[in-house]
Amino acid sequence: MKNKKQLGFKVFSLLTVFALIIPVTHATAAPKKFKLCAGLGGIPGLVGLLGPTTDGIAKAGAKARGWDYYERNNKLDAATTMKNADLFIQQKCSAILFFAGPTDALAAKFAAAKIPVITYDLPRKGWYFLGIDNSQAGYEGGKALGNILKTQWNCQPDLVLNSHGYAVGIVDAMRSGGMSDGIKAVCPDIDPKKFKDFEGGGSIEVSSPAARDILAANPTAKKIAAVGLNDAGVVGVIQAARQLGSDYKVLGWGQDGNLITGDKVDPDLKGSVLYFLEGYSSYAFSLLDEIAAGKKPAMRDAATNPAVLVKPCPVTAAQAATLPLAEARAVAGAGKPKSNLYDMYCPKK
Amino acid sequence: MKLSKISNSVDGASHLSNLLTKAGSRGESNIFILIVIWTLLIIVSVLHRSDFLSSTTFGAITYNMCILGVLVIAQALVVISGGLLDLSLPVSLLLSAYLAATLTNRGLPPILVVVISILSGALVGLCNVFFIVKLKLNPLIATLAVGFVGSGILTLVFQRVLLSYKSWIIKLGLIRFFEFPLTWYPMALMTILTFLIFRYTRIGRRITAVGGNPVAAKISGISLQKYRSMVFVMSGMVSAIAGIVLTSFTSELRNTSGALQLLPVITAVVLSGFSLAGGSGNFLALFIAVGFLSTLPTALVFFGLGSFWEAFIQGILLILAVSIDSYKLIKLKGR
Repeated sequence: MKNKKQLGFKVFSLLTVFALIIPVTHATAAPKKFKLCAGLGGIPGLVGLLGPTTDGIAKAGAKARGWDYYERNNKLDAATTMKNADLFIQQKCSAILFFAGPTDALAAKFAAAKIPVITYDLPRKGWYFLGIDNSQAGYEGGKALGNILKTQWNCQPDLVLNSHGYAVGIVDAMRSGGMSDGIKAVCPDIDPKKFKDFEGGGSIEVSSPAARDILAANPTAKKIAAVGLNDAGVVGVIQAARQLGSDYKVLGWGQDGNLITGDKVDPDLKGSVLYFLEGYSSYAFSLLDEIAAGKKPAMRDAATNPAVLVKPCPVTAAQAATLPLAEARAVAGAGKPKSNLYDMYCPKK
Repeated sequence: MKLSKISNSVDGASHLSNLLTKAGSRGESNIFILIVIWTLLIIVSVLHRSDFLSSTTFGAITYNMCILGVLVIAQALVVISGGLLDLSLPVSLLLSAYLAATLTNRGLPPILVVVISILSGALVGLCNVFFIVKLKLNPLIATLAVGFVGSGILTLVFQRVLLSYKSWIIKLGLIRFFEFPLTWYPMALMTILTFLIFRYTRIGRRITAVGGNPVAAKISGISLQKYRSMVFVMSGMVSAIAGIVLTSFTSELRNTSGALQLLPVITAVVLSGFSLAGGSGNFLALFIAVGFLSTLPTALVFFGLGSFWEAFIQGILLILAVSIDSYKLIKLKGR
C-alpha cells in the first residue's frame, strides 16, 4: 500500500513538472513581439516636450507596425522617473523613447537590461540622441530675416540684437550663433560692431530690460533687427523698442514657434523656426524600424552628432497663421503614423 | 498698581520717542549718502560716454524703476514693522499678474481687473497674517513657506498667459507722460504717500514703534497684532500693484515670472538704511536706492559690461549694506 502511494506521488510530481515545462518552452520558443515604451515629460500645459502626458503619435506608429506600446509619465520628477524605469525593465521593453533628465543611475539600469534608449533633446552617452539641428535652425532663421533686411532696409540695419539664453549652453551657441551667421550669409556687409549679444534669459521679462539698456547705449540706432534663442527673447527686444519710443522700427525672427501662432502674434515678429516638438516621436521611427528589424544602428549620442536630426522649419508669420495649433497637429500626426509632422506641415518654399 | 502701570506707559512712550528721533536722523544721512553715490555713478558714466545723458537712457532707467520701486515699498513696510522680510512677495506679484492678464483676456473692465488683482495681494497677505500673527511662526520661515506653496499652486494653475499687443494693459505699459512711463507715476506717488504716512501720521509712527521696540509699543497701548496684520495685508496689496505693472510690460506671462525680483528688492531696502531688526527706515531713501539700482544695469552696458556684472555688484552691495546695518545695531546696543 505504502509503495503504491509513493509511486503515485512520483508520477503526479513528474506530470506536474512536465505541465510546467511545456508552456515555458513554448513561450520562449515563440518570437517576441516588439514592444515600444515611452517615458514622457508629463506636466500638462507645459510647452514643448515638458507637457505631454501621452504620445498619440508614438502609440499610433507602434500600432501601425504591429508592435506593443507602453507609456509612463515621468512628471519631471526624479523618483517617478526611476520607478518608471523599473517598470520598463519589468515590461521587457524592446526600445524606449525617453524624455527626462538623464542620470547615471537611469543609464546604468537600462544598460544592465540591454534596452536601447532614444532620448529627446537632452543627450546622454550610450543613448541614441534625437534632437533639433540647432545650427541649421538658427542659420535658416537668420537667412530668412536677412532676406527681409535686404528687401526692406537694403541690408542696413542700425543694430542686430541677439537675445541669448546662455544657460542652455551649446544649444544657445548653435541657435543664436546660427542666426547671426544666417544674416551675414545674406547681408555680408553689415558692420560686425552692429551685432550686439546679450543675456535674454529666453523670456520677455529678462530680454526686454536688457534690450532697453542696449538701445539706450546706442541712442542713434532706430532700425533694429532682432534674433535670439527663442520667440520670447525676440519679442522682448520688440517690446523694449516700443517702450522707448515710436520712432523705432524692429524686424524680428524667433525660434521655437511659441509666439508665432494663435491670435496674439506681435506684428513685428516676422517669423520663427518651428521644430514640431509635439511630433518628435514620428522622427524616431526611422531608427526604431532598424532596431525592430534586429539591426544595431551605430551609436550616435552627442548633440553635435545625433542619431536622428529633426529638420527645422522656418515659417513667416503669414504662413504660421495657416497652421493648426500644436495639439491639433499632434492629433493629426497620430492619424498618419507613417509620416512625420515636418512633411505634413512645413510650408513648401 | 495704577501708578506702576502709568509709570510703565511713560517709560514706554519715552523709549518710543527716542527711537523715532534716532530713526529719523539715520534716514536723512542715508538719503544724502545715496544721492552722492547715485550722482557719482551718473558722473562717471557721462565722463566715459557723454551720450549717457539722453532721453533713451532716461527712458530705460525710469522703466527699470517701475516694478522695483513698488516692490521695495511692499518689502520696506514689513521690514520697518519688525517683520524681518517678506519672502512671499513674488507670489503676490505673480498671482496679481496672472489675474490681471487672464481677466483682461476675458474682457473685464480695467477697473475691475485692477481691483481684483489688488485684492488677490491682500489674500496672500492674510495668509501671512494667519501664520505669523495668529500662529506666531517665524516671519522669515512663514513667508518662505507661503511663497513655496503659492508658487506650487500657481505652477499647477497655469504655465503661461498670452496677451495681445492691442490689449489695454499692454498699451498702458507703452504710454509715456512727460517722458516718464505712465506706470512710473503710481510708484512715485506711493513713495511720497508712505513717506508722509510714516513721517507725519500716528499710524506710521505706531508701525515704526512696533518694529523698533515691540515691548515699549505694547506697554504704550499699541496693539502689535493689529499693526502687524495691517502691514502684511498692505504689503500684499502693494506687491499686487507691481504685478499689474509686470503684466503691462510682458505679453507672455509665465509661471516663473517675477522670481528674480527678490534680490534687487532686498538690496534696495537694506541699502536705503532700513534696519532688518525693524523700527527704522526712510521711504525717500528707498526711492533714491531704487533710482541707483535702476541706473546701474544701464550704466554697465555703457561700459561694455554684461548683465552678469549686475547680479555680482548687487550681491556685493547687499553684503556691504547688511554689514553696515549689523555694525550700527551692535553700536546701538553697546551704548
